[in-house]
Amino acid sequence: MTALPMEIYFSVSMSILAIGFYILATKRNILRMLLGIELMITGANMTFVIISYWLGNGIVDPLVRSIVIISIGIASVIVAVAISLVIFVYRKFGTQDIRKLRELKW
Amino acid sequence: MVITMLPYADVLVWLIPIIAAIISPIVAHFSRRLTHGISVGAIFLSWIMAFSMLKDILTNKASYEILRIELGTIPFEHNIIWLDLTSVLKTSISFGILLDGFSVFMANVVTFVAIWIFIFSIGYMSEEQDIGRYWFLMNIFVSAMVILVLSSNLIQMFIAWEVVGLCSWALISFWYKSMAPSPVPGFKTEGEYNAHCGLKALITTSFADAFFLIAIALVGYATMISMGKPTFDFLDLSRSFAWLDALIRMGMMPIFSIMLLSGPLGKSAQFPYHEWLPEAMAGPTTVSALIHAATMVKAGAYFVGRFFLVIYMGVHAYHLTAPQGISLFFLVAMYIGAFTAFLAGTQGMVAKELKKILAYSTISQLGYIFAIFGIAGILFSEEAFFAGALHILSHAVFKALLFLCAGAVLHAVHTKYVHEMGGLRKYMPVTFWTMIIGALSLSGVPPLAGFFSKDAIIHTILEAHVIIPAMLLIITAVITVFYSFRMIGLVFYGEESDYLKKLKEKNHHIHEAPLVMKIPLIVLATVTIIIGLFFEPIKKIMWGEGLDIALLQTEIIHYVSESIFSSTFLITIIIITSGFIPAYFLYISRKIDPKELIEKSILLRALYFFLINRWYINSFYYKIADGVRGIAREIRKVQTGVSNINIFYMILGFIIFLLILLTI
Repeated sequence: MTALPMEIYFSVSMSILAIGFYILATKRNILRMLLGIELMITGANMTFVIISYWLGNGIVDPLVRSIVIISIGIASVIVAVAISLVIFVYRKFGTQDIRKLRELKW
Repeated sequence: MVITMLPYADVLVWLIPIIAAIISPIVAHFSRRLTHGISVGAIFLSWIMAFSMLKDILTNKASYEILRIELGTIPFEHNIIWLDLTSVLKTSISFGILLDGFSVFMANVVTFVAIWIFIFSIGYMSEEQDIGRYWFLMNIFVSAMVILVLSSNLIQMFIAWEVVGLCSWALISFWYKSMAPSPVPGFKTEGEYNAHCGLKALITTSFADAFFLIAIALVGYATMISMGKPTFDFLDLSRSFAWLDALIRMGMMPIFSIMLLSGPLGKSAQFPYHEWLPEAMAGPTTVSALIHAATMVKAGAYFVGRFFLVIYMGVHAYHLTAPQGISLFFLVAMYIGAFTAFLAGTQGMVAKELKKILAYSTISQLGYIFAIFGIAGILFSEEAFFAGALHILSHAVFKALLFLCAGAVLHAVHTKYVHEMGGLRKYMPVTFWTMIIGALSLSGVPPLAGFFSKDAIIHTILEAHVIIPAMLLIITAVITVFYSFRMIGLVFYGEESDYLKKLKEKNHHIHEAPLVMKIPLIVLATVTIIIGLFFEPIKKIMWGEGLDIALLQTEIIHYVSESIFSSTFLITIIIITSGFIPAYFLYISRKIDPKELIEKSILLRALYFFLINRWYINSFYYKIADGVRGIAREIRKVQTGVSNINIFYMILGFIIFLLILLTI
């Protein structure tokens, strides 16, 4: 299997991370922001694997694999908790706009 | 007869109150009586442990012969490694117990006074719903104080120090839910005011402690460069003064001294930090008694004494020469102590609330202790050190007594203003007589405990030839007598006030305290009377010289006669009479009306307003606080609360961080 140059892998993972950041910085809807967070986690996981692939000259360290798998599992848990929070927020305040949820600041 | 220390007494003395603290909130759900029983029992057991340490370590010299240092005190240390930092700093921080005369003496004072305050609380807090929280905090409070005095190193001591501060915050603002109208304008309810007072105490002491922490870090740094590894252990610090020399070489000595003193000044409510203590009266009276008599404010005085011992032991047991620079620490302690004694004493003369009079007197008396420890450090005098340590003891006993009496009065009349009392003598005879004893002891009337310790202080300070502190302390002694009897006169003598007459019309019967509150008063009053006679044996025990029962009687007689026929006895008599006579005419016989005096003379009126406004120091501090709040209100606008903007800042920070990495 011929591997592509490392720069391509990196640019893909970094652009996923950047898209996640962009979503967080611009979107108002909480659900969309949640998607952005998920994208960022994916980007970070990818970077992790790519670096391991690079350092191990084509072999991914089993430790890295297991860490990434755990990270994916935790990410799904985060989504579950976050979505339930979003639902409660919507029930209580009737909005999903993050700029209107400023109750902590008075 | 060899009486040995009870097994593990040095651990159990603070562990038992912690266990009681954990159990009591749970038990409070089932039975109030059981909760009271557990807490009082725990503190009693704790005292038994402390007392057994006293007997063993200080009378049975043989068992610790190896650890004995020529000096006479027998420091006995055992440490458990708590934080192992060998890989990073070549050292480890241990959780250790240091038993020597001073620490065991303090542990005894704390636990003994706490027993009677706890018993008094059963009666005083009888109507309180939230009894579990009360006992939890009280037990932790005492336990943290015992850990503080028994600590073998600075880090552990600092942790206990902060726990004490935190408990005091929670206990001062104990009645934060109270919905009664606020006694001070500017707050919606009394509960809000109480919370404010607690917070004020916490902020003031924490501000002081920040400097203290820096000084502790400096100790670590100095020991690291001079001895190769950082150490915070008191015994290690006195084994070599290379760390002090290192500090002097760095030119840090003045800053170090002032920062190290800052913590004790804050805890003991001395001059720049004294404003929190009068407000700390918002808590229940038993809490005030505990704060003032045994825990919290004594911690600062204890640390100054402990630091003196570190230097003193180095000089006398290891034959080191103390560098000159360190006397600055004690010099500052002496001047601040003497000034605070005067400052607080003058404010105590005009205070309107019963508990505030006592609060000012506490600040004032602690000023005496600081001044005398300062003199001990400057002159390297054992006598001065003993005078301070014994004043801690006598002050603990009589101040606990006075506060508990005040608690009994407040419990009976439901007001805290002295002008709304008066003529209570015939309703509360036991409280009256015990409070008289407390006030006499505070004024230093022989043969009560306060006389012996205050006499020793004045004697030492006159011998030291420091003119300004000596003058200030003698004037303060006169003031002390005046405000003690002003307090007694206003509360117990004269006509009943209009407030009390109204209270009676409403069918409120002014009653003597119940038995459970009377017993602590009587016990503490008895101790106040007799403890002064035992100062000479206590001194010997504290110095580890052992106690010979056969010689006890002659020693006591010798000590008492020495105190009475000393050169300062005449001064004491002059002080007492010159303070008592104006107080008698103004407040006890009430032949002269103090209000008329103030109205007649412009000078007196100006002085009165100056004092009632607390030398304008308090309002000055509030101005600073308001200024900070104004700045914060402007800066807070950066915090928009909009997540998008926050994330934008985050990305910006991330980019800057990357750029920094790239340039390096």
